[in-house]
Amino acid sequence: MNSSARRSLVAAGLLAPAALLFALLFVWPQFRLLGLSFGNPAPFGLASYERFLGDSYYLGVLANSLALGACVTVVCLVLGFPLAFLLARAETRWAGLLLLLTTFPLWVSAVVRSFAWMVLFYRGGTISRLLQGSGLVPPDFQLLGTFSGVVIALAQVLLPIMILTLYAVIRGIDRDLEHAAMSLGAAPVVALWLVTIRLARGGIMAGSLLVFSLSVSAFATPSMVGGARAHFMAVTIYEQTLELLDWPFAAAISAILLAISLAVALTYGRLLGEGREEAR
Amino acid sequence: MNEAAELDLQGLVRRYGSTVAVARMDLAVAKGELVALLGPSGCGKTTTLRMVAGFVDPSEGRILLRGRDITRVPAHKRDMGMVFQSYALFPHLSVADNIAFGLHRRGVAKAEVAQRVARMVALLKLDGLEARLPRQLSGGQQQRVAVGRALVINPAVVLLDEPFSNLDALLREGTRIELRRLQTELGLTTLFVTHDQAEAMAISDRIAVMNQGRLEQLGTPREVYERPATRFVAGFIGRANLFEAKPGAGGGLVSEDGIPLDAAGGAATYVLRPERVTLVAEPADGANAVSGTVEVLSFLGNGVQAVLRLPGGRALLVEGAAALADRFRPGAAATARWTPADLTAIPQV
Amino acid sequence: MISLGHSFGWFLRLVAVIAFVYLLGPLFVIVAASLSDTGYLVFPPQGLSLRWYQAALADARYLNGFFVSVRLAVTVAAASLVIGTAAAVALTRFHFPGRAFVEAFFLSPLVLPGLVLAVALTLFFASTPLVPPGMTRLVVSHLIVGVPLVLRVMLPVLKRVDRSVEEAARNLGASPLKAFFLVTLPALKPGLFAAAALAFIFSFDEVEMALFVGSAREAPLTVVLYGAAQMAFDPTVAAVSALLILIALILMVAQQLYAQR
Repeated sequence: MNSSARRSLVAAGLLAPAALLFALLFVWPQFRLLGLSFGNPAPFGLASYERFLGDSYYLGVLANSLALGACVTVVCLVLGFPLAFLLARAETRWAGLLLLLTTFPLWVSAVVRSFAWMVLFYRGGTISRLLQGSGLVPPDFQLLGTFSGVVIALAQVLLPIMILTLYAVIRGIDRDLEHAAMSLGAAPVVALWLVTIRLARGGIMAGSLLVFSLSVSAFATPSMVGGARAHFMAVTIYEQTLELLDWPFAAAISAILLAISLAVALTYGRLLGEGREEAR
Repeated sequence: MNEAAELDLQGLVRRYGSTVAVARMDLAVAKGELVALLGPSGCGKTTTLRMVAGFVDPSEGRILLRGRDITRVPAHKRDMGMVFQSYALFPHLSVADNIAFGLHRRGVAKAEVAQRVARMVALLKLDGLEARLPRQLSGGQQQRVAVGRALVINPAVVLLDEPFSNLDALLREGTRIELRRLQTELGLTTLFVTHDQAEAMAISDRIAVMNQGRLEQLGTPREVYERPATRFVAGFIGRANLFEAKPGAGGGLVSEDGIPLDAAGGAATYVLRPERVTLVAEPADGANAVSGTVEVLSFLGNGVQAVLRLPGGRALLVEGAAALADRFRPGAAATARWTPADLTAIPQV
Repeated sequence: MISLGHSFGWFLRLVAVIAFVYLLGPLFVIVAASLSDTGYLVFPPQGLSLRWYQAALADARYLNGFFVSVRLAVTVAAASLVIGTAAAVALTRFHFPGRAFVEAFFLSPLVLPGLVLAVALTLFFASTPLVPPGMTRLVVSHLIVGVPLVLRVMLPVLKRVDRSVEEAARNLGASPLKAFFLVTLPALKPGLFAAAALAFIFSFDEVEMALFVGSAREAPLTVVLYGAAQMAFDPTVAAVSALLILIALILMVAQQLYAQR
């Protein structure tokens, strides 16, 4: 056997376990899912999709999830950028520790973090009581089960991901560019706006899309903090399967969610590629 | 001096925790003068420059610009044109927009911006490149854009942070002559950071030699070369043979390795520049003469550098005309001689 | 940071502090509330006691769930590491047509909704006797995300390893396989550790797939917690949550200490 043939064989051998796993447990199930979603009425029909797109309730669920994605993304961006910027530009030896603490929540299950928000949000919880005390809300008000509550909790769950993305992007921008802008007379805010944010635009978009995509398809936090009135995509899929056992319809909703995620992922990949191009 | 100083650093100190980056720096730069901050890496020269630019907060001391205290003035209100080591050209802006950046910040009218940018482009021979992005330029072109961007705002002081270190040797020489010409013509007060002593000697009016956060000597290039104030300066600026001279048994001076010396002063550390040493074949007695073996002969183009290994172990540096290589071969015995005037005492050790 | 200017610098710092409190505050609250002596969840805690920890440790559901989770996460981490690293070596050390596509394909589960993966896998398991219910299903499901996680860590690590070191070993007479094990593998160790930690923590924390493909008898801790949290505001849930936060903290510190060695 010649050496190039042997190399090919080695490569194939190394890839085989992953390829087999993915063919059997990733590609094939996804195809079955798509098949089922188009299988009503059998053998080919669009009834499941017509039901989703023709029902204002389900369209509302879709709109609700998209709105959740938008709100969470904005919260993550507004809170994440200053923290990521200061961490990326800090010169103290505490910066490493602070970055580590910032990413610590990623090590804790979303179930635990969502439960923490439930404790803060229920009628007797700290945050709800603070709001009641302020007189802005009725006395029996609770954030649990509200859209705002889900936004606050989910943004906290996803904020470390946004910060990590922005941190990497800002670290890639030479800080002397900000210094140069300032020495040429740009106030710090102006330097940040004209140089840093302009150069980080690709990364900011990429981080936002990632957080948006994860929010739209999030399950644990919306279902726990949103409670029974959580009308979000992933929660609806859960209800249709494990509770209502309407698998073809659940498959159709899953396919729609899959399409959204894939569209976002493709844009994300392209943006990140462009960002690298510009940074060079 | 302080009255006339354009830029005046008074007792500038910068500490990072317990480490002192800059220790009590006093430096006055006159109008139109080019002063080099010269020293090895980590000597505090860049920290000093960044304090002047407003990027580093001094722990102590004051910075005066035309007599006005600007120590607490933020960087964007200081009116300093800085050329960064990395150039820090805005990668998303064209050459013209990079140069115009500071003018826009100053609210200069559109027509005037175009006019001043065009003048700078012509001055720096960047014609035809106005619309290019920085990454489409060569290293030398990028360097000129960085210079143009700093000069177009007519800054009170120009700050140069190792502006030639990213250029190849040939380009570096041409560029620094060009920059010196521009600086003299426009009468720019300039502070210039470099670790390259040849570069500092070539274009500075005065050189501030720094070491471990301290200003070791401030003087013209000739002064720091011919009359180094410290051992560090003597070793850092050019090549030097150093002798610790003490009174010997016969009443004359003797170096630490037993070489009899005849110098104008008494016991001190003396510098002997390699080019002041004469190498002869025949042995000689008395002070200011020493015999040894030629160890290395390196041809430098405009001359020859030799290392004379002495019996005591010292490697004496000698520089002379190219003909030296014809007269001596490695391994040959030779005698080095010099006159009392060639020995310069270092005032402090 | 004088260069930021005073008011603007302070504004940025204020927002950053808010973000910091927002990130870590809830974790602090749950730990504090778990120490309360009261029979309901309250913050700040009233009276200090460990009774809810005793209750949690006495509850067979939590204890069983914890052991299921550990077994699951260890298996997933080990299998992901082997399968993922092998694939990463193939993708960085060999050239074949469509390499970039294969790489993107193997990473794609990371950008797809976990719940959709779970639904698809449930449908698949229902249609085939190939994968027995219980732990096996949990493991193979988590591998779909565990392998891409390992790949994402190992691809850049493998690309960064200096090929000339490997070539030097070859030059000195080592076979390709020997060179890999003697020279490349030691250089990969920190990366391998980070990848395994990532796969472990993913599997340990994951709830969506576990909810669908797990059996009631072998439910991981996250699934038990998810169910319990919806029932009542039981301080025992807070105690279990606090223990999970503690485990996460230990793992993170261990990972850091290893990485900085």
